[in-house]
Amino acid sequence: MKCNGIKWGSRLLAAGFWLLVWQLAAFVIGNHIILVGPWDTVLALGRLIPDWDFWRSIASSFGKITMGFLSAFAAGIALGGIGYCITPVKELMEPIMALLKAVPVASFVILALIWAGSANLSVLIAFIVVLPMIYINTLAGLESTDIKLLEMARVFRITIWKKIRYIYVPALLPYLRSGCRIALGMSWKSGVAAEVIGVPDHSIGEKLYMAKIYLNTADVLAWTAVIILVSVLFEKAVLGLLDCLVPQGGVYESDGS
Amino acid sequence: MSLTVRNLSKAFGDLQVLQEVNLAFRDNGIYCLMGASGTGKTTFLRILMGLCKADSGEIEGVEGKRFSVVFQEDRLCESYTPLDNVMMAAERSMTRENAKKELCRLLPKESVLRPVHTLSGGMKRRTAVCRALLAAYDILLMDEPFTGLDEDTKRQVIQYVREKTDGKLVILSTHIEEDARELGAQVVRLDHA
Repeated sequence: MKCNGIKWGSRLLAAGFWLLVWQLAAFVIGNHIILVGPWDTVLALGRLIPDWDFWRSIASSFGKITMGFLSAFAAGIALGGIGYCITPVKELMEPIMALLKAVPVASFVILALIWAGSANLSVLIAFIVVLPMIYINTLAGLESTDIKLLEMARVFRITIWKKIRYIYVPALLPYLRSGCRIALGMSWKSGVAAEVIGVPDHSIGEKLYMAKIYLNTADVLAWTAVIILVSVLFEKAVLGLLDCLVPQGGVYESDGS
Repeated sequence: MSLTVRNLSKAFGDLQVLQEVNLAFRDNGIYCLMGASGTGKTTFLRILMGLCKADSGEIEGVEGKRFSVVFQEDRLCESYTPLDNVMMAAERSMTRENAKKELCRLLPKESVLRPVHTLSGGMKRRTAVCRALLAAYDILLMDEPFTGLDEDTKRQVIQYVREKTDGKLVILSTHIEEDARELGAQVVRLDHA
């Protein structure tokens, strides 16, 4: 308990130190177009929060990026699972996944704008960015499954559903978790970047773009803080749900088999 | 004889592990495979349960038979409880309540609902034994099942094995002749087979 208090205290001190540096830098530069301090950012946020359009933009971007992430998450696990079971499928998917990883997001954004317009741009971009990460981690997790446990399951004639629950999911989860950690952040970065390029109506990207046009640095930083906050909350929620799939330790009564 | 092994041979590269092994087992007895390290006890058990192919020879009497096994390593799902591990392999008619009661005969009550990775080596071994005994099987194979158990616990587990395997074919490997005696098992020297 005491240790936790000290940890949090030192974290707050570090955060306070950097906020002070930021405020001092803004004061020294003295130009609100180049840099505003944390206080002005908070004031800008205070101006934005009561506005209905602020919440609509967050909801719209959140919905689209989440949809892109979740569909890529499902597709990545499904394709990874099929690739693990059927080697030709794995070989077939390899160049596609390598291509998705290598092509710059900006190129995909331009292509997606040409093909599909700007309305659902962030869904598509989040999907394209997240898919290879989840696929690769799913495959790596499944390939790391303990052969000895699979032998045990074979001898005991354990059903496929029990094998998935007791053997594959625990092997997969650490890989999926680490893949998700990166993919969640990347989905928000790429999704908002796509919105800034495509400028769909009522989106966080549109608001960032408008703030840039009017050289409103305080609004840019306020929206950036919103993106960070929403993305961190989303990450915590998704990782928390993943952790619920397998018991992490301690005494517990499982829900039966 | 319910299980007959004829001229069974197996080599790993240049290493001949089993050579022309001939054995016969009745369908309701406990057999202790004994032999020095490297005489192929584990390989023999793996061939019986179909996890390893023999280079030559025949095995009669395993078709359609259900195996249960205590591996040399525990091979438990570490994130789950002993109860989950037992239920995973248990026969369909086994309820969680009954499985819990059976586990409590070998393990302290409070450890039955703790994740396996928090248990001691001996507790894990007893869980593996219990899992094998509560599964549906015709032939039970046990590869050094009493490793890591202290003398008192070993007696308790041996008693449990005798009770639960009554009337079934059990083949186990061990280095310790006293264990074979306590089990009332027929000793089979693999190095002379």
